[in-house]
Amino acid sequence: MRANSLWPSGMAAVWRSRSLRWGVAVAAVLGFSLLAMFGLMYWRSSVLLFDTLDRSVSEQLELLSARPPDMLPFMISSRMNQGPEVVTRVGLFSAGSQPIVGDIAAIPPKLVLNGAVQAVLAAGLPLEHWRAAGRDLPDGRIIVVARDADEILAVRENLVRGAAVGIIPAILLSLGAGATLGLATERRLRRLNAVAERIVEGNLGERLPARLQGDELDHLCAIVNRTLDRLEEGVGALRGVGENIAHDIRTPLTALRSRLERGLVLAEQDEGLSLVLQQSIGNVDQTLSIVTALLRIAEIEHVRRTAAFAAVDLAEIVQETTEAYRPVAEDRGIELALSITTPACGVGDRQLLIEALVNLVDNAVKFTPPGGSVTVALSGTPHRPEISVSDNGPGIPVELRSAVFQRFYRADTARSARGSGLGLSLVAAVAKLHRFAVEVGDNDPGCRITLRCWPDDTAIR
Amino acid sequence: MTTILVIEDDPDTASEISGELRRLGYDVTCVADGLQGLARATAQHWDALVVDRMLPGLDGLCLIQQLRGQGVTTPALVLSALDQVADRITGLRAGGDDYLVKPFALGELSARLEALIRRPTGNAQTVLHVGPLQLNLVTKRASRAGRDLDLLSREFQLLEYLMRRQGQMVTRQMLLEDVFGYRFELKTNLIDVHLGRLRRKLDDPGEPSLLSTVRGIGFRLNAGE
Repeated sequence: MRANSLWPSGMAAVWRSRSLRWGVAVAAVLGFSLLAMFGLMYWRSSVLLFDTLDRSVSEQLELLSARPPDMLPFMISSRMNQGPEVVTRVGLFSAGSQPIVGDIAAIPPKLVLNGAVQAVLAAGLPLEHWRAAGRDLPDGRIIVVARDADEILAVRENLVRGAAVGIIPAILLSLGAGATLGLATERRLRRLNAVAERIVEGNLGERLPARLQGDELDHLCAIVNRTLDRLEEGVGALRGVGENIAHDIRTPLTALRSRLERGLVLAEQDEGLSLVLQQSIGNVDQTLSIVTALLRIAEIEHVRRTAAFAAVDLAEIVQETTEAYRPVAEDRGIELALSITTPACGVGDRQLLIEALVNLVDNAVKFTPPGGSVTVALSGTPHRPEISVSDNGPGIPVELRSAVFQRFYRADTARSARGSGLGLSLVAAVAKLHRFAVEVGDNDPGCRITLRCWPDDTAIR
Repeated sequence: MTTILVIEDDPDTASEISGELRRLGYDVTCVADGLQGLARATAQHWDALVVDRMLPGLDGLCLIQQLRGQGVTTPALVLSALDQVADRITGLRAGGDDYLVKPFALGELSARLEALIRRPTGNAQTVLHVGPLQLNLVTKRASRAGRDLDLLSREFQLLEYLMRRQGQMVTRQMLLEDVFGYRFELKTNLIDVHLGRLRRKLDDPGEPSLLSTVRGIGFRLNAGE
């Protein structure tokens, strides 16, 4: 009877969780924006640094080119003597590219001598990356200015390293935070769901946990709880009306029955009248039995008398009840079989369990045609026993199987048989009190009703 | 004459009960208040009490408790509403008292009262005799006029119960509760089927029937002749 859990388990379920996906999405957005920010920084700072460097190279070249040609060698060599702080190198070459003076050994091979600053590789320079510019002087000599770009590259490399150290942990951190928050929400929803499932199963008294000054979810829970309050009130009132009617009708019915009995004594001489009175008493008895059964179910449902729970031996109950009904079955020409394949002891209300089983066996015997058979079985394992009652009657169509536990439900095929139509409702009420599962199945042909006893470990044992 | 004190505050129920009991030949006195009832119950000897569970002045169960405290052992039949049936009420049966759930058939009331007043007989005996019937509790054998009756264990228990209440009215509900141990109402023919089988085993063709059905109420085992 228990519905499948609304929360499938496993990794797929975790991934399906909306909150976790949100956590991952937030982490992704954060990581992307950090990367974009870093890229912009990297690009802008590169441009800026190279601009500065290139401008200084360009200025130096212009400056030197503007000097009188015969002063150049002296100026260049005196710059060289200013010490190692000078980062710019200068070289003066003859028209045949032979070095005349300066600290550049040779003209870098791919340098175009147009005055524009270019990136060059090491030929004639001690380090790998340089920015250089050169041009032909009016007297045919060539002047080259170069500046070490390695520093900029080092700065850029540091930027990348810093980003790696900063961004990757930030992404991981946000992933973790997202997942933690997601899972916390997940757990909370799971708890809410468990309660909601119990409410769906009919425990209208349960309420969703809602903190007084909580978030939107608490607010929603509070609203749901108020709805449940109203619903419970309504159901209670409805049930109360039914029970009050049943209760009030019992007294006049009993009085009516007494009068009919008294009439029967008075009408002893009149056979026709006696018969009518006897039939009337039969009708009153049937009505009384419906009313009594209704009140009885209400009693079982309301009182929740687990206080009367004690150790019970299912094998003894099953055997006892079957033996009690054997003469009834035999009188109707029905074979009543008993099969006990496991011992089964647990905690329960012996009287109620007998009452439920009596109702099941009584129903089965009633609906089985003469010549058929009814089997009462106790099977399963000692810890998860199952009591089943199978008959050769008309059976219950699949689509009606959940309806038979509702009050007053009777299949069309059962209309002609006497009874209150409340037997299975009583079985359902007793099962619910014990947290047993009731199932209606097929006996091909006929009906098999199974009580799964103590199906989960949460039951009181 | 057998004297019965009815302590019941509802005048209709009280008059219905007293009417039926007087018709059956009992000497009936009615009281409508718990405290007054307690005073009357201790003032003189009664053969039985009929006590409503809910009474003005003093609750029915407290009343019986106080009586027992004073050493008064008069058997009591407690009338209780369905929703008041708790273990405390059902426990009455163990103490020699009984309870009846309202509303009840008057036949059920008189049968229960008779059972309380006449208390089962032959408790100390190992062999019970009723007319031609003999029941040996040790060998678990039953016979009618020397003819062995081949009884199943449940039939044996039913016959023993009836023999201990020879001549008394026994209702279906009493048999369900006391022989089958079912403390719930059962509107089926379970008891009738069992007693029908027992009757067929008791009576050979031509023999007078010892077990009679009292229409609408129950059964009675007679000594015959």
